[in-house]
Amino acid sequence: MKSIRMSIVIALLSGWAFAAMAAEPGHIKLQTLGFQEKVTAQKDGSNKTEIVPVGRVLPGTEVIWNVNYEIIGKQPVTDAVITDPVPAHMVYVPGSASGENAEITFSVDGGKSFDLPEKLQVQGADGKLRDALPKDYTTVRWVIKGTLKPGAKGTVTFHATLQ
Amino acid sequence: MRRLVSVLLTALVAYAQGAGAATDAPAGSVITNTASVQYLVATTAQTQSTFANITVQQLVNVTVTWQNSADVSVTPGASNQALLFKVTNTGNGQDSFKLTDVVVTPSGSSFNPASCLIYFDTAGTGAYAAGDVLYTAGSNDPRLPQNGSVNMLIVCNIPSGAADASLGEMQLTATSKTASGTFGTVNAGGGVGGVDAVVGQTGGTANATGIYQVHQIALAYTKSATVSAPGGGSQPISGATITYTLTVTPSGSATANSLVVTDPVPTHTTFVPNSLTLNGSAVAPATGDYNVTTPGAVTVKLGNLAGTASAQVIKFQVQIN
Repeated sequence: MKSIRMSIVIALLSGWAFAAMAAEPGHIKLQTLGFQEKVTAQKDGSNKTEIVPVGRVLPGTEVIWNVNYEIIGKQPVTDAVITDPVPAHMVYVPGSASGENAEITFSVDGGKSFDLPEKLQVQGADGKLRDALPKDYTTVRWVIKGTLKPGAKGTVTFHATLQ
Repeated sequence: MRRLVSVLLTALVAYAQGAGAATDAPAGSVITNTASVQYLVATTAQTQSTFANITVQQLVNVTVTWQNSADVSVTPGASNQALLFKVTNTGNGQDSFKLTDVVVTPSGSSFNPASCLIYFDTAGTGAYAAGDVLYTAGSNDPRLPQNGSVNMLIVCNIPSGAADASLGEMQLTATSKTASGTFGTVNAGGGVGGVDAVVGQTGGTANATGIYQVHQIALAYTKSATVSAPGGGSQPISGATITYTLTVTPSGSATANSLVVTDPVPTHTTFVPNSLTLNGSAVAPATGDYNVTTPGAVTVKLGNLAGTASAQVIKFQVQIN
């Protein structure tokens, strides 16, 4: 009984730690940042596009989600897999996922299974399977190839539009 | 300021091409992106996660639609005639709307609806009914949640001089009290929960026009008699037969419902059995009779007679006693 209770406490603590102090205990420093394109009209009539951090977002905005990672431990890391669920009320922008040295797959079932876009299918309103649309994507996954040495860092990214 | 508007417009244009309103992110809500990484250090599996938040701003939009399926049929001098409208908050956050009504003059034969007021369709009849609450601007402006709608009535009197088939039009306008004006205009902090409210592609205002049409019917009624005396004369003597011809001529764009013609048979005469005809044909008992529906009189039920129908000709004969 005591051990069960202890486990729960540990689970709660670790959950809290992941959320609030994500970088501290592990070997990888992980950071999620949102950006958006800002187009500003110049005096000469041209438009200047820059990438700015998002905070407050209007429906219709395409948000660029970056996940930065850095190996901060002293040991090499292997089999690193980054997963990022497409946030609520957001729709994945087709073709927007990228990441160096990463094999990118998607899930349409909440992260239970992943596959390449052309192989994903979902059950349509008529009960029959149909090819998945970007709006069906629930999760993006990057499988980082090879070994990440201490100090290695990288960024994976995808875009999603706020509905 | 100009730069900000450009950014917003980019977002707004994208929004206009986006999915349906039903799943729009509610204004003021916080959307969290939680990424995680699983990995091995030597053979030990580890997991970490991190998150970032965005707060959804309020996009202000509204639609107004006229709900009557066809022009609302009215008669001259009628009071409290209603046009039904639906006001829908198509923005992504709760909003209140100011309503105004104005007469629109259509081309062609028209009239101006008079003494118009805006009511909530509280009773839910789609027409003016007891229990409908009067709208007063600034006092009970409808407050609608995201995707919420309310049915409103414009209730007018129809001038007594309105001509048959003429049109009267009223426009209902709903304007957001949160933000309205040029597409992209920002009301900083004015949205739900203190987020910015931004005018959407509707400009935060919308209107729709409802139409009344006067439908009247006039019935011209004539009666003539021809006498046929025994031996060929036309003197109204005892034994002579009088053939009465009653003509009902409708005109106008309305329909007279349940029209019944009744004509008493004159004293000192006797109805000639089976002499009653309508438009040249014998009349079935359900349509017309003598002395059954109305004692001592001929009765013909013309039913629903459209103003565009041809003249109805009723004939019957009596014999002078």
